[in-house]
Amino acid sequence: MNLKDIIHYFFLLLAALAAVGILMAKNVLHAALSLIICLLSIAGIFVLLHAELLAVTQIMVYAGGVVILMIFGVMLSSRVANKPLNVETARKIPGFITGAGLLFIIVYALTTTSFSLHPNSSTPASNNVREIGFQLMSSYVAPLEIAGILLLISLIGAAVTASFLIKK
Amino acid sequence: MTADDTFWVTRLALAAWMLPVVSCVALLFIPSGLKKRVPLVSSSLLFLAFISSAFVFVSVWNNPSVVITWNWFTFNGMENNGQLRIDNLSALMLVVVNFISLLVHLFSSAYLHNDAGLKRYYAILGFFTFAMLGIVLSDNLFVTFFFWELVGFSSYLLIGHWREKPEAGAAATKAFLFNRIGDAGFLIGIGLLWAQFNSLHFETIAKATAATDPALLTWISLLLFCGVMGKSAQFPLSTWLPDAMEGPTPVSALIHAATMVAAGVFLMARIYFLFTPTALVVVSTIGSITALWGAFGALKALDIKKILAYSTVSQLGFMILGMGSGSFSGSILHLFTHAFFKACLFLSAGTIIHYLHGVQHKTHTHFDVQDIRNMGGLRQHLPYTFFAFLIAGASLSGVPLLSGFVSKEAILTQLYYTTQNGNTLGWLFLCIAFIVSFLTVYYTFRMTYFIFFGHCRIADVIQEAKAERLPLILTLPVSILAACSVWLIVSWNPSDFSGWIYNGLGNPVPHHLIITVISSIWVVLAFIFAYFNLRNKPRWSPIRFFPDLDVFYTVTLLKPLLQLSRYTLSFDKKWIDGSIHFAAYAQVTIAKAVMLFDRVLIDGAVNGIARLAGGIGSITRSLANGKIQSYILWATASLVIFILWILLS
Amino acid sequence: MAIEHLLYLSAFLFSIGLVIIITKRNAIMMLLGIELMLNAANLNLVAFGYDGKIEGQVFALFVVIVAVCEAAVGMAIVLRVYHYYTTSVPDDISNLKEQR
Repeated sequence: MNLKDIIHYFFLLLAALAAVGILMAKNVLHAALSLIICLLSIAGIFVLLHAELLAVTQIMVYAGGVVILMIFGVMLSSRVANKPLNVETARKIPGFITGAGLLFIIVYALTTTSFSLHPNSSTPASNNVREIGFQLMSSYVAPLEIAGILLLISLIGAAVTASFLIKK
Repeated sequence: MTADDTFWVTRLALAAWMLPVVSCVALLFIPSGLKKRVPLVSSSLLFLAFISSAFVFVSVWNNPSVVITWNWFTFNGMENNGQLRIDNLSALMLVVVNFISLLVHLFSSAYLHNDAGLKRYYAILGFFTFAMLGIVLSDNLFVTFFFWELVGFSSYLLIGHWREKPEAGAAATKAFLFNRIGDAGFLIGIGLLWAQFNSLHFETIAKATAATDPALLTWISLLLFCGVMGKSAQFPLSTWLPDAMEGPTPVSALIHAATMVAAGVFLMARIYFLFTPTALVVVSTIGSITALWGAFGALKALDIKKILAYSTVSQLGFMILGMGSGSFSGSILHLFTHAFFKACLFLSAGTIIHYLHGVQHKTHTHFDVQDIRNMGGLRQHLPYTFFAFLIAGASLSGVPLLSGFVSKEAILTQLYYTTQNGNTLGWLFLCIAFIVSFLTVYYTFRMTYFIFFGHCRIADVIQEAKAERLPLILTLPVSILAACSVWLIVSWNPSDFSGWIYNGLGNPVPHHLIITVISSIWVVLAFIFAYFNLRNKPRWSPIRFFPDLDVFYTVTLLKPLLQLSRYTLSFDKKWIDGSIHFAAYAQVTIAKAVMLFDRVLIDGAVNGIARLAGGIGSITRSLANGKIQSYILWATASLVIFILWILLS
Repeated sequence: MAIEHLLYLSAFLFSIGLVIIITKRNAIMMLLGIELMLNAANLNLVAFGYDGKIEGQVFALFVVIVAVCEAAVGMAIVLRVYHYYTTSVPDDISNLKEQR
């Protein structure tokens, strides 16, 4: 077991623990922070999987954007002054049973499936980012454009939806 | 008698019959503003009726009788005819009833001039006269029964005329009930007659009696005699008549002296052919008991009207006793004379009561105006009344030269002839008749003595009142009736009863001198005895003991009957009602059980199904509770379950 | 480093995300759970592109974009709902239920 594997399993364990932390958190802010930890761990795993572009995007978009957005949302939607940010839980037993059932299904599917992998068959090139850039601008240019339009639309939509704040 | 005569006689008889009821109907519609004219209207109509009946009497007397027949009703294919008969008997009664009714109408106008129910009184008086004349004219037992009941009904109304007095109501009820007892037998007798002869026409029955079993005839006649006993107050149904004196005094004069109580005697004369010798013995026995009982009652009584009532009972018994002699002529003759002198006595008593009432009213004193103990020496104050009372009383006692003597002699003679025919019981009845006439003299003398002679026990009160003279309308009827009590009305010869009336009735017997002599001496003896008895020992009542039948009936009949009815009532309540209640409760219990069954099982099943469906529905509805996370939960859970099911199967 | 472990992690995260979505009575927590599930999917995509294929990474990139859109719009909706109902607890908002 080399260092890479140790780091890999460290991130893996950290992500799992962070996910459990989200589940256990009583406070929304703590949950959001646990989510950041989880996402950063996954970003670390992405780096180890030679998906650097994706890892950077993950860090930037999630940790720097989405989670901050959510923290702001928490601030706005909770009356911090007279009410703690506690999160109550409901439907615990059916929820856990359902989750356990889903986990069982997926794990069952994974264990009964044999993946014909090629371990260490090819070492990804270091110009992975470049390769992706080419692919995006050539093979996937239409989805990229559409994604851009989607972003624009969602931006406008979110702004319009939340525009009451501006009116205030 | 020509056909034209018959026509007029029929019309006049109907007029004499119907005019009283016309008066009754007219009074119903007379406006109350004309209340003062009521006696005038009524008396005028009665006067017309009297004139008509007088014409009828004159044309019918000793002529062949007139029978009016009409088809009354057809029942079951059989024609039932009603018959009226106008012969000597009915013509005589027609006159008597109308005459006395007229006089009573006149008398009442003064006697009751302040009465609130004057209109009602006169209406019922007219109605009574009509009903009584119905009995008189009837030639059919069913028609007779019809009017018999109407007479009883109007008597009930008139006795209870002063309905605010509880005694009057009780007396009216008593009279009505006693008549019912007699009429029950009467009705059974009529039914038997109908079953036997298929007709109730007197003449038809009379023709058929010869071929009939005498025992049956005896029973029938005795049953019919029951009705006579009720109406004529014969023992043991005699106690209602003294109580009936609660009614107004003119009513007592008309109904309870002259007419209604005589209806029984009259009916006996009509159905005399039915009575077998056996039945006649029973009739005589009842008559003699009644005559003695009434005479003793008159000796005991202290109320002037009660004395007269008991006297009436006694005289009626005397008539019935005479009926047993084999001829009804003497009894009818006595009925005729009795009607006048007893009505005269009653109206005199009414005058006295009226006078004393006036005295009482002026001086505001209180004493019983009918009690002879409060009277005495009234001859100075009421001279006309005194003379009328004296004549009528003497007639009642059987003093010679007066009508009572003549008619009494007729009965005695008939009874004497019965003994001559070898009837040993006849001697007993003859003795009783003489005893009764002796007692009659005694109580009449006692009554007259206490009322009019001696010193006046309320002289100071009368002095204080300074009562004015009595109105003519009171004294006139009394005087007329007193005048009718002399012998001339019956026969020219004062010692011979077989005058013009007696010979016109039934089967008369010849006059017998011995009876006349004995009777006269007997009366004189009785007067002497009474005079000395009362003069030496003036007691209020010469006898101490008198069989009070009312007490006897109360003890022997009324109380056991009430006890029995109490028992039956409790039986009814306990067992009959109890069983009904038990059945009802059982039904309710069963119904409740069924209801419980229904509710628990039938409804329970239905409701259970409904509740099951509802429960399932509410469970499924609870899934759709509007919460997004629940939807997510159930969607994913069902997906998981679905996949697991695929995987594991 | 075995690819299966990544797949197990992915399955675990996905399940945890689902449980969060179901049990937490807070709209923002639900959004967090959605993000977690999307990342679990991303993890799967990247893990299968481990042997040099870059299609998985491209696809994951698009997923990130969509997730960003979803987060922005979702956040706006949450704020809007909070403003309208003055609560951010989804259980208290039951307009979908039949009104009785």
